[in-house]
Amino acid sequence: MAEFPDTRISLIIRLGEASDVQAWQEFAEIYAPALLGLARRRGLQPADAEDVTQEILFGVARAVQRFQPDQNRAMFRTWLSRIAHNLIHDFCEGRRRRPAAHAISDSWLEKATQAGESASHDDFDEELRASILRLAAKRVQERVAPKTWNAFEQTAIQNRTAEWVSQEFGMTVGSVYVARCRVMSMLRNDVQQLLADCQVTPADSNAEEGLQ
Amino acid sequence: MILPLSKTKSNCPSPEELSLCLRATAVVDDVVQQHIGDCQTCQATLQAIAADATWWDEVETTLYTAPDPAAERIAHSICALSGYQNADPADQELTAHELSQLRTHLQPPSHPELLGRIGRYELEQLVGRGGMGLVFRGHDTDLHRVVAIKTIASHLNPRGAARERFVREARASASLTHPHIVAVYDVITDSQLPAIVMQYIPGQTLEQWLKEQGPMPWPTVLQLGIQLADALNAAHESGLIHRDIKPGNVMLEAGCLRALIADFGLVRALDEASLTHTGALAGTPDFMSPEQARGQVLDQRSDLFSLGAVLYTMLTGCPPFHAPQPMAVLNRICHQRHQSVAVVCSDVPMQVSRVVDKLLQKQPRKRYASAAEVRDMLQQLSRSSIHLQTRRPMQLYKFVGLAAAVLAVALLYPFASMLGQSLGIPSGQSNSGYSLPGESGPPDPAARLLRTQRIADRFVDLDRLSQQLQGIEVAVTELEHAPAIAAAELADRGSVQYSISSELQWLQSEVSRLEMEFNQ
Repeated sequence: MAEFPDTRISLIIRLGEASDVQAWQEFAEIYAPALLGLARRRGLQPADAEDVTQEILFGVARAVQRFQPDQNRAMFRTWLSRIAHNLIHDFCEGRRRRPAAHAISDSWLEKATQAGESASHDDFDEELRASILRLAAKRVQERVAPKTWNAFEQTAIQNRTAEWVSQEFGMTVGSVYVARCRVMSMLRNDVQQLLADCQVTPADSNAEEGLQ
Repeated sequence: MILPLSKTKSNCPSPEELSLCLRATAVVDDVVQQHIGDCQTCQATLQAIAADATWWDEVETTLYTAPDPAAERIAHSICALSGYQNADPADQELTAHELSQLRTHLQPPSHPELLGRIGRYELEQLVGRGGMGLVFRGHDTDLHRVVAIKTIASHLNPRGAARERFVREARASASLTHPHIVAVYDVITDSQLPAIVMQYIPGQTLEQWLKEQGPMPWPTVLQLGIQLADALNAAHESGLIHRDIKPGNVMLEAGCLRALIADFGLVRALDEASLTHTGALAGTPDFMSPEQARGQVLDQRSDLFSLGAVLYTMLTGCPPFHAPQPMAVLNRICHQRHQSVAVVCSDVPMQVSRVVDKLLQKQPRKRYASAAEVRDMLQQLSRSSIHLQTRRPMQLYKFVGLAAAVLAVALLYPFASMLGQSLGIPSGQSNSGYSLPGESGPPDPAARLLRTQRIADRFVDLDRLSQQLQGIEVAVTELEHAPAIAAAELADRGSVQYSISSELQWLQSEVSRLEMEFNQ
């Protein structure tokens, strides 16, 4: 049950090596929902949001080899965030409705990274946090016993009482509490790892050590 | 580890002991567990150790809503894109990852030497890989025949309405029977690992062949081109567009005399069925038509462009718009004219090169109207192949080059002599017995300079005219099938050629007059 296989190597550096399938998967799993969420937040219709997300990721996937990750990973996030803001803005203005295949013209990246009106990265960070949380949840769920996950899901997400879960699934109330807290603890660890990889500031940096 | 219950004043475990309970592998003592179930203080402490209230809130709000299914679709399409880049299609060894995938998705084989089973088909050996997934040689246990089985990577597995569309497209493609189309026997979508069962062709793909052997002799290309165009025509007549004609989808039977097109409409149908729409499955964009690269609506003429790109690659060994970056390739496909085959390979006849040029026209209406037309054209060329010439059309340039050399000499002489005069150095001519420039007085140098200037201007005219002529040549080739307009273009060509020859005559006479004057 290795907690974190090789997340120490920066995701973005690994993306540059096309052979690193795992890195690509992680990249897509984190950024696709985040970009989609951002586009929806800006008022795009579902189909448009999907189009623009696809265009951004398709273009970035092809351009990432050209991105120099020598400074730091936060730059990648800023870079991507700017591309997202510009393209979503363009889309909102109705300036173009084009298939993702456009993301492959040479001038795409140049246009997409032009400094537009100053955009805050806050809402992109929020979306990133949310998609990282989902990814972490997915991973933790794969690592723990179904019963353990269930205790967590029912109490922490579905708002059921520990007593209800204990009766419904034949667990002691104490084991429901232990299971739910154990999953939460793992989840927090995973999220912090992924956030560090993407250089997003955690919402509450004091949460690091919990209340002790 | 078993955590003992240590007695404290309130009978509660210490926070340290509680935090040990949260370790992923810890086994918690029943007594402790019982206590946590009963003691609200310990419940609160345990919860706070796991994460503070903001975390609990955030987790609840974020995970309460289901993720957007679109996100997963997009993520898959991006992964498919990167996955394609690292697989070497020629590598016939299964990776450990692929093997484990196969083991989980396939039914166990009837013989330990075999890889596994899908329905009534036994998978024997990996023979290739493509954008969709892996290709195996297999055995149909009911009909006792060898088949090729193309598995579809699980993340591309079409679902719901998309699956129905895909199956419909596969059925349409199964209805095609043609000696140069790989027959589709069966489509399996109810297995964990969906697959397409098709005719097994012993041999290799055109892609592998070109990689190993380099370009083909043009008479062979004509022969195979006729077969491919005929196959395309049959498919187009039944309303099917291939949408992914490329050397990787052309099978060459051993001996390289028979070519078969594989995967009619399937790759794109799958791409659309899995809702990626990115063309990521198509892999290399080298053979895409401009309208495809732009994501526009396609008709059969898109296949003709791709056929042109394939013929080009067969003749020259390199795709017409090749570039290291896929995005640069698409840019070239849309905006740059290719270099004609005859320019790259001087041994390929002009007529053959022109057919490829016409197939590679950016605008569909400028290409041939149908695959049948292409086939007939290639057949005609093949029949008259001994008469085909490899002459380059622009011999005019040689004349211009020659004339320019003459002019350069003419221009340099007077300047050399003027220079010699001003420095007091006797010029070459003075030694050969001719009068010295200063003595007999040559024509006014200023006038001569003016005249050479005029000659230089006329050279610019000549260049412009020859460019015009080249443009007309191209237009005439394109208009072969519209005789009336072609005649007009030809007439233009005649007049431009006349202008060029008179321009050349004037230049020659001027140059020789200059020489005469100088030598006086």
